[in-house]
Amino acid sequence: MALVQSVRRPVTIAGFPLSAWAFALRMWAAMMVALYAAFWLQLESASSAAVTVGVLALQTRGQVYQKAVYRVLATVVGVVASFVIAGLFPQSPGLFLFGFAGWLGLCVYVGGLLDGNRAYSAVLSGYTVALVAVTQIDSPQNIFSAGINRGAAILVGIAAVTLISELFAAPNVHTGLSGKLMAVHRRVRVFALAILRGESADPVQSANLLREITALHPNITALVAESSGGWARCAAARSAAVALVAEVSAASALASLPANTLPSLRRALGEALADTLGEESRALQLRLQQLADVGYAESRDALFTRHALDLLIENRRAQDAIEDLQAGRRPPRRIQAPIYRSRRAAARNGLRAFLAVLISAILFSLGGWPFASLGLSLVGVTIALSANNPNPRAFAGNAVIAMAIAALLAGVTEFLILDGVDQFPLLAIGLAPSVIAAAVLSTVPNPRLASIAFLAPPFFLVILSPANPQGYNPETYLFYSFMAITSAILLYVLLWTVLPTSDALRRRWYLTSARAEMGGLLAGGRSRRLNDEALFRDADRIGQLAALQPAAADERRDDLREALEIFGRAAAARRVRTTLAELSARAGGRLVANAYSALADCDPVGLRRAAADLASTAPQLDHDGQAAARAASLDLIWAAFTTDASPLGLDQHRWTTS
Amino acid sequence: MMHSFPELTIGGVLVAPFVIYAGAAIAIFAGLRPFLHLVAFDRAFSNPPVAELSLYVLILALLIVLF
Repeated sequence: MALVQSVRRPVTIAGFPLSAWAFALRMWAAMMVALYAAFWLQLESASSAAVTVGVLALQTRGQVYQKAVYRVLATVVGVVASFVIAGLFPQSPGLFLFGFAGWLGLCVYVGGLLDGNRAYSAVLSGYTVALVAVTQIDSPQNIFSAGINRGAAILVGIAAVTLISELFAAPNVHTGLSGKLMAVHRRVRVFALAILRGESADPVQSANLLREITALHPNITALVAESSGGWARCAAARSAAVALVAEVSAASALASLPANTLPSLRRALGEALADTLGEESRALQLRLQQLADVGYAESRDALFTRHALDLLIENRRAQDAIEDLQAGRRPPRRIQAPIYRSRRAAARNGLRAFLAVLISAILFSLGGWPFASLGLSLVGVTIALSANNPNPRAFAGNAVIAMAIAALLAGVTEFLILDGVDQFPLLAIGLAPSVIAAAVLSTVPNPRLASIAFLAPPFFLVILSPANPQGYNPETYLFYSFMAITSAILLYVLLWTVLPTSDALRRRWYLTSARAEMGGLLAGGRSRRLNDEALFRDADRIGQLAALQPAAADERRDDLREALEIFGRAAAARRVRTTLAELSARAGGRLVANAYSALADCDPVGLRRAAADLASTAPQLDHDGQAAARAASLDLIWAAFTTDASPLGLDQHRWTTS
Repeated sequence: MMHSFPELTIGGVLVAPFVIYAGAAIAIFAGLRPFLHLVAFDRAFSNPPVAELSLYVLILALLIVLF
């Protein structure tokens, strides 16, 4: 059957879609409104209002509002920190810089434990001190007014960007997010169908699926700020993401069972997954539930039935949650989606920021150049922002290029286009080419070009420093540009030389932490998180591991295979602990003591023996107790199976000593 | 009789009364959000963002007129 689909080509102007031009025009309009309001209010740092718009130049309303809220909060924290640090070391610039470096390092560390705009707000708290206090290092009495001026300018910028986004109908996060979730859900179903056809699960494909799902986390958190239904939509999107991770986990569990297990059920499951209306899926779910209640003679058949049931349940949950997201309904299940962040990586980033600020302070003071405090504050800003980036070195490279382009554009705009004019409309027209071109280019899919285009407008506005009246001083422009480019190059050099963090090192940290947590889990460490929440966090770690670029493809595959094995085993161990705890609550702890000790010893024989003991004692229990004992027995067999299947499984010391 | 506006002073710096009204309106609007979700406010309008912005302006104007 030929499937005919009409494809409508999007309207483009100069190769860019209309949505990109609309975004660019919104940003330019917001920037001009912010600048005009700041001039009208006679704010001293009026250019900060325009820079705020440049920083908040994100394409959807939810992302803009969330970043705006965090920008206000972080600025308040940063300004207070500026007063405290300046107050603690009033007569000693050396100690003041030491205090600033320590504060920035602390903020970068905290930012390393968060994601998205929360991480941005943490580093902004750090570098606000650079912009408010370090630039006033020679006149600390001005720090208070500088802080108030910066805060006022930021509020004006936020008000302008919010007004323009609302009036000119900036796109919503939730429409794009539901599209992305549906696309990932389709891919997860294709992955599961391939496994049901008997294909093995490719570790790279599994890890990339988990990465795609967990990478949506920052967008999910941005939903809250978007509208009055934001909380409900955020809960629905979280529920969908967690269900998708659990679906990948269930499909991977099916892949580890022999391909010839229950062929008729495999076919039925495949048809149910392909059925988007869900009628077949519901009927099969009911049938599997009845089969699970009766039990199987062959343990592999029982395990297959159990994971097939999980797959169907999670598939339905994901589908329902995506529909809830689209409709703005609160989902029935309340669940969190915790993220994984490496404490070691965060601490190293914090230490690097601390050292980088100290080294640049020494170099700038040795240089004896004018505007050295501006250069130092720019190093603080860029090192803090680079720490939030998955690839800080690439960020630093892009920052050097963006800074050079920004300096060139600022010079051309100030001395060739504006060239002494003092009317606001001419300033607005003069800024338009640079701002609109950068905003349009920031929407391209090429990450390097998009990153440079995103960084260029704020740098451009910092170097240009639009003021009322504009100074048009070539000497100031040259020193500003020189300091800005020097600070970007210095950042680039420092990132390569001071505590560089290679992908190989990160890979080792991620795997070590996965092994250590697995060891804690086997030893009986209890987590306050639900099983699916812990699964999402583990998936986030695998997603970050998949994003790293090691030297050899085989090495990457081996690392991902190991991480996925730990992911599966941890899921099995958590499930055993949950079912054993339920059984213990119904039938007493005596029944499950052997199971716990076999689990702690990673002993598959002991696990199977404990499962057999539970199965034999089940008939003596009441109806609910029998069901709990049957579930616990099956989970113990699954835990034994995953331990057998893993080449690392019999070495329990590996989990604790590495 | 002239309408007097409340003034806030932080560390000797006078903050414009409008800033206090704008902040209070944001706080009231944030408090209203669960209620707006309950009455399906965003489904009653073809462009919910503009409707929400209008509601915010309405609250702000009411505060300025009443207090």
